[in-house]
Amino acid sequence: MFELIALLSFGDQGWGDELLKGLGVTLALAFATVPFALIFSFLVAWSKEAPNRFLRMAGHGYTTLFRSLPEILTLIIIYYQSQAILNSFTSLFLPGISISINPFVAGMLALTLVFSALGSEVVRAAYRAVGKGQLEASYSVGLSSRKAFLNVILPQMWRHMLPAFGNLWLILLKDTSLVSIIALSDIVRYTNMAIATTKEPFFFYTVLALVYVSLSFISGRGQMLIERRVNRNMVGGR
Amino acid sequence: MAHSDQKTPAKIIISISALNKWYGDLHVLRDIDLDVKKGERIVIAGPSGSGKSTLIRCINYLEKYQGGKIVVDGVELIDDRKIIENIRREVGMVFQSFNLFPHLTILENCTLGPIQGLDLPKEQAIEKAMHFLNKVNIPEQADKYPGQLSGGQQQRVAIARSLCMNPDVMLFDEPTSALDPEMVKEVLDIMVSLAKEGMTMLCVTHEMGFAKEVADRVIFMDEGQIMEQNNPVEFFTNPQHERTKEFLKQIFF
Repeated sequence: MFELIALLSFGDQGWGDELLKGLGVTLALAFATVPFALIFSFLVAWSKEAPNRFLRMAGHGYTTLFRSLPEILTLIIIYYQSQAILNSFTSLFLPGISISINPFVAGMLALTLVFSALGSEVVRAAYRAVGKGQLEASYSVGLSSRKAFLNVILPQMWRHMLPAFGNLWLILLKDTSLVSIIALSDIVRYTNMAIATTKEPFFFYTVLALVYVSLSFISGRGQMLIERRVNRNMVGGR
Repeated sequence: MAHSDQKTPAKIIISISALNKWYGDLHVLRDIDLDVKKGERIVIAGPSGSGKSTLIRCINYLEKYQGGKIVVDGVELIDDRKIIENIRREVGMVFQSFNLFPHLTILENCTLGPIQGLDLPKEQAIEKAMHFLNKVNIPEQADKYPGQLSGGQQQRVAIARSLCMNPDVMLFDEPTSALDPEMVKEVLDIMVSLAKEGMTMLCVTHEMGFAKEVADRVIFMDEGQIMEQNNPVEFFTNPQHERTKEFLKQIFF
């Protein structure tokens, strides 16, 4: 037992520092993806509610595409295919120069695409849940649609979006593990390296599982605090 | 403010002519012609689905229409953002379901329009909001949230919120229909006092007592048309149209 724990120590003998570094990459990727995924969720949701037919079609097409592709396929396409396409382009103009996409950026991009497709539905549902009456009331006191959205609609949307976004966050956190296949050294990749060296798969996978469970527990707590804050003024329905 | 006892010829503040609206194949407003004079109090009655709510919602362009025109205070409603926003600032509206902003305090509900819509400084907006909250008898609720108030109180806040914009006209869309019976009176009392001060009002309501007390004109609508309009005494004692008689029989048992 003690030999196993020693495997987690820091320094040359143990894997503790590597795993921590991997955890850092995992968290960095998840946190870096969130703002983009959020912004794109709103943009895609907005395009799906737009008066323009082509914008609506584009929004729905985007959602359908990235919801139906397995995340791992999106990631592979972004990382390998787009690299190939980019290079065939650049070779036309700049022969001899090859571009390689940073795996971290590729991971962020792929995860953003997937989670904004899912998130756009959350945003749309929240927008509808706030109700037309709120928009009409804002208009009736002379607000422009932009001011109505910022002052009245958006603050009320968070309440409806938070539970679903909490779920998406957990899925995102777990999906970051997919980047280990495109040579990004996240915690899963380091775990696999540790297992290859030490031949202790059961131990290291258990440690990995505990890490993910703790992350999810902390996320749940965080979500609870945010929800409480957002709901603090909501007394008795309407 | 023009008092009803003044003898100067009142100016026309809303002019609706040949208004037509369809929802798909459904013809919901048919050739509506209506002029509203400044200071006039109009009650619009009719069965549900007769188009009465739709009509007043057209006046501040919450509903678009396909034919005819509406002129508010000399400005024709056209599909132009600035014009529509300006008209909405002059025309207050009170909704059946209150539609207060649940995430804002009562005071903030009343100051949002003046601050964001009229660019009024915050202190002035607050002063004005307190003035009108006093007027609807709930200044002590200013720091509460809508969810903490009764329906009647919420509707009174909604009236105050509209008044804070200093509207020339107030539209009421069944303001008491969603209230418990014992709260109807507190809202109607506010509306009566507004009417007595000379506010131009268009009220869609089933409160015939209110119509008798304050209306200058009662309009009866059915199937998207104005079937009959008259002063309340004539309207209630001597209805002309068969459909009006039937309707009055229904509501007075």
